[in-house]
Parts: sequence; structure tokens; C-alpha cells
Amino acid sequence: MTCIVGMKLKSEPDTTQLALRLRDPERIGRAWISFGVLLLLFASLAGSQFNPAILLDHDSLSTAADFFDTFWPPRSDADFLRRLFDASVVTVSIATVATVLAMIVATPLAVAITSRLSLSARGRRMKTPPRLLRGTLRGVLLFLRSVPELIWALLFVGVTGLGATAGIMGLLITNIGILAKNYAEIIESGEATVTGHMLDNGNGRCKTLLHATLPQCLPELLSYSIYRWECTLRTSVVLGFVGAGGLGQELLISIRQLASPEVFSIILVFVLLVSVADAISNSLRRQLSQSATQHADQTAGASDTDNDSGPSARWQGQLGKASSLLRRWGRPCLVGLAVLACFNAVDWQLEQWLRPSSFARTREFIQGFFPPDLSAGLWQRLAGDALETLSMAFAGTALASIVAIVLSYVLFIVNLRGAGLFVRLLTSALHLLQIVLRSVPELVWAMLLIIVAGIGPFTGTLALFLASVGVLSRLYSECLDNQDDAPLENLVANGSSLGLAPLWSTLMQARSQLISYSLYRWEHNLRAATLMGIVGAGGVGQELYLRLSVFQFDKVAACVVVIVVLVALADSISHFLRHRYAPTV
Amino acid sequence: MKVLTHGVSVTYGDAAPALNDISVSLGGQEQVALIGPSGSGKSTLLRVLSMAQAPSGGSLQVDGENPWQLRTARLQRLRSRIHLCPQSASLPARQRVALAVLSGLLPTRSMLFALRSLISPARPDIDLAHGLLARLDVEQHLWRPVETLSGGQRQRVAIARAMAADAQILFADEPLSALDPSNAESCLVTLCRHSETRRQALVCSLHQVELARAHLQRVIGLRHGRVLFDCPAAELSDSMVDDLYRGHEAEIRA
Repeated sequence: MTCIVGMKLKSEPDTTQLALRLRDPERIGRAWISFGVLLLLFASLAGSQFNPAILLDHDSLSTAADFFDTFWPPRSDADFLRRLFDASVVTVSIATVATVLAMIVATPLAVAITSRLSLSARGRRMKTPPRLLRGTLRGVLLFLRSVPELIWALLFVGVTGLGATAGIMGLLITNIGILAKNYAEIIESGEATVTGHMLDNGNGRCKTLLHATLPQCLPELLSYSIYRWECTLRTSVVLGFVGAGGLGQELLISIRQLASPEVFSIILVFVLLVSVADAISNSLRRQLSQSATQHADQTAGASDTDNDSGPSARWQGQLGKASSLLRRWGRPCLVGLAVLACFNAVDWQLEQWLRPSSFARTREFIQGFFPPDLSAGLWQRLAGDALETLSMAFAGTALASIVAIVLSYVLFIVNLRGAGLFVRLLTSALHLLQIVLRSVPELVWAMLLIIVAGIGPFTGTLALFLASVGVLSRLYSECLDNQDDAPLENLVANGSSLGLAPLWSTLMQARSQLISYSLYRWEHNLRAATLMGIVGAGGVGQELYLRLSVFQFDKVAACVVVIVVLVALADSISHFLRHRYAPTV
Repeated sequence: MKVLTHGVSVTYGDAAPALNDISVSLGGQEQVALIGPSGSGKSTLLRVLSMAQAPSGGSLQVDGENPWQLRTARLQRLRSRIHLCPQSASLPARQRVALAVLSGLLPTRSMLFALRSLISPARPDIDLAHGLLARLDVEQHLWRPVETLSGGQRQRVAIARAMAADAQILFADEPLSALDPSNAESCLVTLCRHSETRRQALVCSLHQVELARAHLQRVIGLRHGRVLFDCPAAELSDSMVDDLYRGHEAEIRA
């Protein structure tokens, strides 16, 4: 019998059918996609007036040399450092206060928009009024988060004048939109059955929230909030550019005076602040995920430990309890105190806000916004600006993705080889470069690059590119490191070269995740590109800044509309691509 | 190509050695089955023989050289002359079947092939992959991502990849573990035929003693990390099999 099994009898399909089956079905699609991406890249390079030759131009080189020659040593006299310290405290306080307030406001909003907790949707379609309410709320939140923090802050500076409060309001409003949406997503990503059972058994929404949903999602919600705080701190650093207080203001003054030693000190403080925030946020989030698993272990093992009750054992138990209490509550208490200190450190400018003239100004402001200017001339220019903004974001992201993938692939291979001292030095230098690139915000890069590359969208593109290389290469590296090693090991064990094998295994596994990181970054960069105009680096922000400074509020409103549309569009395109397009090789 | 071990042992941490004093010689065009209860060290032995893992003690000689004393590039060249097909088919989940099969050729083909195939494989390569898949009856999945296949289909793709490889010795770790009995036999026959025509040596670890006896030439029995017997398949007696699986009787399958 075994002889026959080997030679299977099969009806041969005719040759054309076979040829059809052997053709790679994705080849044409792939060719089109590559063609489209290349076309977009070249269009966006043209649209952002990409011209690296400017950087090597004699004039710009000599101005840059003048400025950067005096970079070293950074200014470090006690007086200046004291000023920087105060500004840093303000920056951190603004970010913390805005995040905490946004958490408080966003929680009920998230509960309101999630369908998980809807009573009328249990076992049937949701009724119309609640659905309409949820839709409207989601729309409002989308609007809140589509206008970048800095634009909100800019508008509030217009109402209440310079100061930290405008910055807090700006961060607060965008954060509410972002937090509420992500809280709702976290709630919906959890296990559905627990919450559903509670509702089905006749419990109200509040009880279900407190006893089923929150216990399940709390660690993740807190973890996301901490991550958000980190992001807010990054933004808060540049709030000073629009006069909303903190470190950015110091930087603005120093750059205007071309005082490069001061600029260098401030940038060092930036890097320090962002790195510290990064470390704090990582350690807090690690503790959160640990305590979540520990808690499960403790409840499982509780029955064995309660049994022994000698006097010394009891005393030791108490001591242990105290230390475990300290371990458990020590850090949360510290965080609470820090938050209170931040609330205390902020100059609330209440009398300025509650003055009747502020109210009048607010009314004037809002009335000025409606209706937005619809004249053809303005919209023609805005369309051009919008294209410029899109080009900057796409070109910056695409170039950064290319550089980042090469960088992280090389680092991955080098790690794989585990090579000598020189290579290790090189990798740590690259790591340092990554840290510097990603901890200096795009706007600051833009301000510095303006000195070299001049005013215009090219500068903005370069700034987005630099910051994105830092962020993306780190994310890519982590992603490559996190892949399953088995396929790679197998290829290497079968004799593939170390340089090629990850291409056929690790990179292939990581591919869709890498693409979605790039899409996220593109979304982020589009937001950032709308702001570049504030420092003169191109895009739609320039028009807005200009119109606001001459109090043409109807034209400002038109600019805001364009920004909202751009950001919301990028949001939904990137969401669509991330969920629908999972490519194969 | 000749692979020789002398007194090879492997220990993981403080546990009892996974392999203990193994001395075997493989090569030529011999087709060898590696049998024994689970945990007897079959996978570890295959990994040591295929130079995927360095032994903790004893010596390994491949064509007269100790591979673990060579520079990486030389080691890789030596490795490209063998192919190891691990038990849990280690294929990237999003890779398409055609490319998964072609990855068997990666060590021996050029850089150009490696880059070109990632974009879209060349027609002769597709033909090759399709032909091998057809012999294992999975050619209809040529363009599907590996992750959408069942365990058995995935295993057959891994066998096709091993058959694609331009190697002188094929090592296959339980290549039939996820297949049903009739499929298992036909796949084993296909694999044996293929290695015969390509003049390759074949070393498979198997659970199915009867299949080993029927289709392979030589049988090595492993128990507790030691070689219990090493004899031509024709000389394998039932009492030897009983000794090998003592205490693990439930594992013997026809």
C-alpha cells in the first residue's frame, strides 16, 4: 500500500489555470502601493520645498557657525540656573495640574460614551436617544482633541493674557478629548462578560461600574493616564512659545537674543526633564502592572498564611504588614503629595480670569468667531497651507521611517553578533543620539533649524524628521527585540548569514507593527505640522498666528476649521489603515 | 558529509543531563530514525548534530572539523550544508507559504535572491515551491499567510521547506507529530524518496515506531539521554522496543 501513497493520482489542471495559480496575487497591488507611496513622497518633498542644499549654503553655514560656535560652555551661573529651575517647576506643575484635572473631567465622559455600560443596548439594539447622545458627545470630544494644545493655549492667551493659566486650559481641553476617548477604548477592550452579567442581573450602571468595570480596568486606566502625563509634559515645555509660561518662554527669549550658551543650557534641561519624566512614568507603570499580578497572587494564597498565630509570629506579621503597607502605599502617597505641590506651585491668576473685562473679552472672542470667514481669497491660501502641512507631515514621517528602520536593523544585527568594544561604543553613541533627538520637541528643533535653514516649510519638515527619527528608531528597536526568536534562530542554525536572516524572519514578523508605528507617528506629525507656523516653519499655523495677532477672529476661525478637518482626517485614515491593512510578504 | 560525536553530553542548569555520553556517526546517504519516549533527548540530540546548539561535553566532528571552534562565517558555511526542521514549525506568522518554502534556500542562494523574493518571488522559484508543496498535497495554499494554516498544514509546509533546502543532511524533529496517520505515512515516504533522489542523508526523530521500522534504514533508540540501541531497522525486535518505552507504554503508537 505504501508504494502507492507516494505517487498520488491527481487530475492535472490545464496549463493556463496552473499559470494563473502560480502568479503572485499580490504583485500588482504591491506595485501600485509602492508607486503610490513614491509618488506621494516626491509630491510631498516638492510641497514642503525640500532642499537640503540650503543647509550647505555659505551664508547659512556661517550664521549657523556663529550661533553654534558659542554653544559651549553652556551658561551655568547660579542666577540663571535658579531662573531655569523656577521655570522647570512651572512647566512640570502646568503639565501635572492639566493632566489631573483632565482625568477628573474625562472619567464621567468616558463612562457616558462607552456602549459597554449602556442598559438599553443589553440584548437588543441601542435606543435612538442614547445613541444620539453618545454620537454627539463623541463628536464634541473629537473636536476638543483635534485642535492642538498649543492652539487652544494661543486662543486663551488672547482672552486672559499671558500666563500659566492659559497653558493649563489649553492642555486641559485637548487632554479631556484624548483621555475620554482612550478611557472608553480601554473599558471596551476589557472582558465583556463580567460587566454584562452585572447589568443583566439587574444592577444599575453605577454599581456595575464600581464593582465590575473599574476593578477590571483600573491598572490600565491609570497606566494610560501616567503615559499621558509624560506626553503632556513634552507639550508643556513648548507652551512658552505662545506666552503661556514655563521653560519655553526662557528659550524663546534666549533664541531671540541669539544667546547660544543659554539656549544650550535650556536644551540640556529639556533633555533632563523629559528623561526624568520618562523614567518616573516607566517605574510607576511597572509597579502598576506588578501590583495587578501580585494582588491576584495574594488573594489566591491568602488562606494559607492566616493560619499560624503564635505571639511572635503575630508581631512579625504586624511588622510585615507595616512594611508591606509602606511598600504598597509609599509611592502612591508620594505621587499624591507631588500633585498637591504642583497645584500649589501654579499661579492661578484667578482675579485676572474673573475680572468683568475678561468675560467681555471672551464674549467678543466667541462672537468674533462666528461666522468664520468664507471668502474665496482666504480659503485659496488656506488650501495651499493645508497642502503644505500635509506635505511636511508626510515627507518628515516617510524619511524618518526609512532612516529609523535602517538604524534599528543595523543595531539589531550588531546586538545579534555581540561584537567588540568599538561596536559597543558606537551603539551607545547611537542610543544617546536617540535620546537627544526624541527629548527635544519638534518646535524647538524648528526654532534652532530656522537659524540654519531659514523660514519656511523645509525647516518644519526637517524638525519633524529629526524628532521622528529619535522616537521611531527606539520604537522599531523595541519591536524587533520583542519578536519571537525561533524563526530567526532556525534560519541561522541552517546557515543563513546573520545580516540577511532577520530580514526573512524578525522584520517580517514585526512588519505590520512597524507600519502602524509609522502611521501613529504620521498622525502625530500632522498635528505638530499645524503648529510649525507659530515659529515660522511653514504650514497652516502661520496664517492662524498672523490673524490672531491682528485680532481677525473670523479668519482665525477659518484656520481652526482647517486644522480640525486635517487632524480628524489623519486620525481616521490612520485608524482605517491600521485596522484594515495587515500586509503579508 | 560526515557527522561524528564522541561522548557528547548536554546539561541544562542543575537538572539531570539531557544527553549523556552519546557517540554516533551519521552521513552518507543513510536514512536514520531516532526513537524514544518523550524527554529522552531526541530534540537535543538533533540540535547538537545539526550544530544549532553546542554540547556541554564531549566532541562533535563535522567533516573532520569541530564546528564550535570555527569563526562565525565558516560555521555558517558549514551550517548551510545541513538543514534542521524543528518540531514546532518556526515560520514567521505573516509570511506567505511560497516564501516560507523558499526560505529553505536562503543560506545557499545569493543576496539578490533574498531581496528580490521579499518583494515578489521569481517564477522559477515559485514553480519549485509549488512542486514541492504539491508532493505534500498543500499546494492550494501557496499564497496564504502561514498563520491561516492548520497545525498539520503548517508542518507540511515546513517539510516542503526542508525539501527545498540545498543540504547534504536533513534533520527533522518529529516531522509527523501534527499529521493524521495516513497523511503521516505518505509524507514520510515523500520525504524519504526526496532525500534518496537528492542523495542526502536523513535523520528524523519519530514517535511512530512502526513507520520507522518500515521506511528508514537504521534506528537509534534513546532513553534518559543515552543510546539504548543503534541498529539496522530490520534487526529491531519487539523486545527492544518494549525496553525502550518501559514506563511510557502509552506513547507507543502504530
